[in-house]
Amino acid sequence: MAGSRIWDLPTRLFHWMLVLLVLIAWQSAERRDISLHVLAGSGVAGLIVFRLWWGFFGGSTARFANFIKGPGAVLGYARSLFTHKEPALGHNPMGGWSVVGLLLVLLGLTGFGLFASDVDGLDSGPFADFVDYDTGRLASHLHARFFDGLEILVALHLCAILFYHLVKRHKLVHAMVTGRQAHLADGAFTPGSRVMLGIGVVLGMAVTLGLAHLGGAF
Amino acid sequence: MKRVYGLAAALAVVIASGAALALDAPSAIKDRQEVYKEIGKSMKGIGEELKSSSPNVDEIKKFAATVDTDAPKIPSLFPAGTGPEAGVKTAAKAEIWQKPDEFKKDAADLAVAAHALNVAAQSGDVAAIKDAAGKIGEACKACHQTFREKEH
Repeated sequence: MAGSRIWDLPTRLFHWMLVLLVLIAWQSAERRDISLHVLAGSGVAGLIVFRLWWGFFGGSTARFANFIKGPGAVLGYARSLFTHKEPALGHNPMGGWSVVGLLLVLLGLTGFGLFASDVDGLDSGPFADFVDYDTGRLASHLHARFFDGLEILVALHLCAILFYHLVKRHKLVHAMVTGRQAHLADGAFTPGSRVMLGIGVVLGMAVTLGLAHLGGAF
Repeated sequence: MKRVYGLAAALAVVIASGAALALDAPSAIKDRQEVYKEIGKSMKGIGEELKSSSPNVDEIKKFAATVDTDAPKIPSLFPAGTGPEAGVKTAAKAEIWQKPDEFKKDAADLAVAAHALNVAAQSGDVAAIKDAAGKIGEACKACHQTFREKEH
């Protein structure tokens, strides 16, 4: 296959499952289908836990240490945004911070969702029983504000992808599907260990199943 | 004596209409929200007990009695002028005053469900309480669908 291997399968599956579950969580919340919403949210929480784990033990392009860059690198990249041709092997210095932002917003979003309860005291997150009514309502409001934040970051994410497609001709979506980036010589991608992958998957699934159980799914 | 009663009644009418004219929308809305909050807190409390493996029926009795007291108050909590036009934050939609009959029916449905829950709670039958609490949830949602602004 042409190009370089750039994203490992776990990172790609994480990405697309997150897209799917966030869409389900959003739509179910709009329709006030809270049992489905809690289920989707539990899935998102498990995915985040997996991604944080994979950020330390995953393939080279998934590791935080490899893509979180200092202000100098970010500014340097921003200045040469229109001039340099070759796609990054993984997240570029600006994209790295967008990943950090998305993960933090998702953490806040799911974190407050755990404690949220609705105005009628009926629909509630898996941990809402541990807090009083007013705290649950506050969590619910913050949950909504973090969703506003997610909407903004997703819009930026989509604009950036469009920019790279139209202006720089980098097929980022294609790369996130196939795991390979054309226009790149086969680079120094190193995969994560299978044992660490196994542990990460078990951790993520435990979080999802635990939350779904507390949320009354089974 | 009759004259005294007549005078008192006339006075009462004057005072009441004066009060209506001087309706303080923000404080009426605040009072209304307090009642709804109390219902919400009670329903949350009942829900928590029902989720536990050994529900505390005495707690449920207290909450159910509160809901039964509060639910019938609802139709009186929406004097004209306390809708979206009041200028303070309220989730009450203009539809409440546009379709008063429908609104009163929804409120009456809740009052019936709330009383049924109270009766079930006083009986101590957990299965019956669960059933009755579910019906209250439906009544809340049915009314909020039409008459309450969506919020989180």
